[in-house]
Amino acid sequence: MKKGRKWKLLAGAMALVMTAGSLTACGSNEGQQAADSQPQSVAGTESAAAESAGAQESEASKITFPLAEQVELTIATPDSSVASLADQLPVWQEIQERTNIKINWDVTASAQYVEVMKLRVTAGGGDLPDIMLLPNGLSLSELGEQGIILPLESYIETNGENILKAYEEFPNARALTSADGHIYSINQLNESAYFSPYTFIIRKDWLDRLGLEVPDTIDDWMEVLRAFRDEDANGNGNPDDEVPYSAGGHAWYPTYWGNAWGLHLFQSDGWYPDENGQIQYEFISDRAKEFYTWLNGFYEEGLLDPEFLTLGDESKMFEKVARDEVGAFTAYASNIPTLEAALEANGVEGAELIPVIPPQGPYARQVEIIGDMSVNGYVVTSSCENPDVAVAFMDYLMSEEGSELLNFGIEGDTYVKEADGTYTFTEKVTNDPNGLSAREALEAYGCQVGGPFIKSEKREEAMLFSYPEELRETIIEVSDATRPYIVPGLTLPPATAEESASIEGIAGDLSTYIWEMTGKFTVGVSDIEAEWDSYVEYVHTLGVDQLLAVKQAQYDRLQEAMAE
Amino acid sequence: MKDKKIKKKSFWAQLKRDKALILIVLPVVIHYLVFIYYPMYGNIIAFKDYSPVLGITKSPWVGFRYFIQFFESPYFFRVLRNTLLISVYSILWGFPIPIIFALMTNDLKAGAYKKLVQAVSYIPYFISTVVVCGMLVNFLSPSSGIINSIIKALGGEAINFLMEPSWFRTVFIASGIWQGFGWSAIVYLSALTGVNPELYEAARVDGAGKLRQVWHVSIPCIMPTIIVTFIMNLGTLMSVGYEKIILLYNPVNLETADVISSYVYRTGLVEGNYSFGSAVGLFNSVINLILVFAANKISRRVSETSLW
Repeated sequence: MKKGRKWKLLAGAMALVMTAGSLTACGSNEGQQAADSQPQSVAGTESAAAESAGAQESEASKITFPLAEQVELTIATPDSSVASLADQLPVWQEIQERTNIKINWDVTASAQYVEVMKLRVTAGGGDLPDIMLLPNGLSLSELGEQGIILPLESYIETNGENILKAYEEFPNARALTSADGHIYSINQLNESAYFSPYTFIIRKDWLDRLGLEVPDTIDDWMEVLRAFRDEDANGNGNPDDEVPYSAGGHAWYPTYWGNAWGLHLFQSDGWYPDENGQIQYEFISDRAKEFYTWLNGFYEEGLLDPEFLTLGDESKMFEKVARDEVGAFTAYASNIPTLEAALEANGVEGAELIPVIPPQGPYARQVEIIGDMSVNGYVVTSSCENPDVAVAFMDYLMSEEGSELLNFGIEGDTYVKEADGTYTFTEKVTNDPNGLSAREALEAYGCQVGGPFIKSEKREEAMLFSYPEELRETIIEVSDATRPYIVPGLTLPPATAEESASIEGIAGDLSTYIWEMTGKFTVGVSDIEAEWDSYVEYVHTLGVDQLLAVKQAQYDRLQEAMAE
Repeated sequence: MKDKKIKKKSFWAQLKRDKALILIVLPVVIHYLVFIYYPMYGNIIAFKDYSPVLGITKSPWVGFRYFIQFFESPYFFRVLRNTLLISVYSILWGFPIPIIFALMTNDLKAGAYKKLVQAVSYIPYFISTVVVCGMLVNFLSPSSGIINSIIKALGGEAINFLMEPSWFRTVFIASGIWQGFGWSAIVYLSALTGVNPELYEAARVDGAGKLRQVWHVSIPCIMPTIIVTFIMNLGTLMSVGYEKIILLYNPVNLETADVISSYVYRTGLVEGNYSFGSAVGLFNSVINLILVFAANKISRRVSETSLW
């Protein structure tokens, strides 16, 4: 059978190639990087900008904007999801004009940014952008030691007056950006961290329909949610279609309740110092056991959405909220206008969502927030030819002028500055012709994307004026009432190279295990009483003590730097 | 000497004669060289402590450290077991279905209906994994999913399929079969069209009914195709893709859902431990290669059909 043989040959060849294909691991081009990644001589950088007209003789490298001669900078950053930075958004056009710097955007969709950039940095090669947002999971000190990113302190001294000013205002910022005495990154800082944090949100109209008060303690919450479960809270005639409390797509979400047990599971992943300054892993603490026992009861009683692990992500939970099925959940209060609009579009009349101050639990009334600075900042790579300009440029973004541009847009066009120093957004922002929310409209304009900046609290206040008045007042009231209970999450300075090496491979296995057990304890697949001791023991087996030692060292460094 | 010269000449003559064919195959060869063979060189980072600055060649050798790290990992046995079980069951249930489907459609009269059946059967193959998983989550939802609505209508208890470890493999494999059987059947359908119609006629003359014809004519004729496909399937035994797993797993079903590739995704890619990821990938590929060789050898002995 000639035909059969031919087919066999072809199939054989195909199979061979396919097997070969499966052998492939991650490919990477090396070759060039050995030469390219040598740290550039820092002192000898003579930039075009240094010769700019405004430079003073005494400080040869003092840079003033606009530059006399245009300089190009390539910036890698997660792209905005509303509009692409590559399309030259108005704010960034203005910034380029005012500084005479031409920006070449090297943007990646924000969901893929970390993976893509991490691969690009680790794969080496000489094609790194001048400035990039350091992707999560890469070590500042390691990259600094290897010369891939440049130490910035000398540039900051000459051209970073606004950055230095920010260090005074945010004393932890400097400590958090350096590992070995050098400063490697310029981070986004957040003046508004304490303003209207991530919080519980409840359907006020459901409460009113059932004649209930806004819950204040954990027990109140249980009562209210039980009522949502048993009664026809959404008023559609069916008492069984309400989900009392929903959470989006991850076993972590319900750990937000741990705040009421004085735990820091949600933002700090359970790593938190006790009153003696000793870092603890709270996931294996006795209080966590009590909390999980409560959480399990919460689930078994049918108060927690049985689909909380399979919903996929937060947006799926919001869809459920918009379908008039959910009584309470956690989110930022800024999500409320969009959700109320969605409920109205679905034909639900008088739907009212309100933020609630954190409930009083058995051990605490607290809400943990991310903190006032991002862990990852913008770094200058060794590919950058004008690191002094790059730093001066980032300093400009942190200046008052830069902050106004990045928080509010362009004066007269997107905002008006009142005599008393407050800001008002124009119709262009509050009433976008394409139906974008005020936040999205500003992002499409180029605000709060693209580089390091100081997130302004005034902006958050001004933003509220795009909301209905009643909601605005509620948010301000709740935000003020919440402030005394806010505790900042723990942000640690980068680990040193030896520290990273000593814990290699531990964190991944540990977080998988905690993730799995949190889910299992919540749902009751694993019995808390019976399995707790072996759970704690296994966490130790996985190497939690090595991690604790490193975190403690990092924390001590932070304390020392803050004390200076 | 003379011999060689003649041979060489004929080689060039052949080359000249087949230049059109060679030109056609060239893009494919280049594709494999550039995208498959060249990157294989990167595999050596599995034996090195890869550092981006030093590059592949200059990173220090660490021998089998990352392989040992994988074997000693607390999750090693679990992910290995899950990978093998999902693969074996996939082949067990998923392999015969396209063959049966091909035999059935082959007997349909050519025409609009046959085309419709074929089109409907292989369209799911083109749906992206993300969408399929979204559909699964919706269909299997205990509160509003269609499957549970049917179960409840029949008087049963709603099952939270994605939260039951015992259901994960069934969901994963059944949806995989649904998505792939029409596509996989194409190979068998084309093999069936190559069967000489005289063989069927002869069988009919001998008094064979439909089933007998399938058993004694169709199946033996496509047997080489079946065996070759089977051997190739064995070559993927250790590689259950991570995308669908990651989209469907959660803490509660993790004990049956976590496979080698999803483990590598978390430890290698997310944590940026590329050497470790390469080591595990290489380990997988070597086992796959051994399986293909073994299956091929056995098949050659037993049935005289083989890949090479």
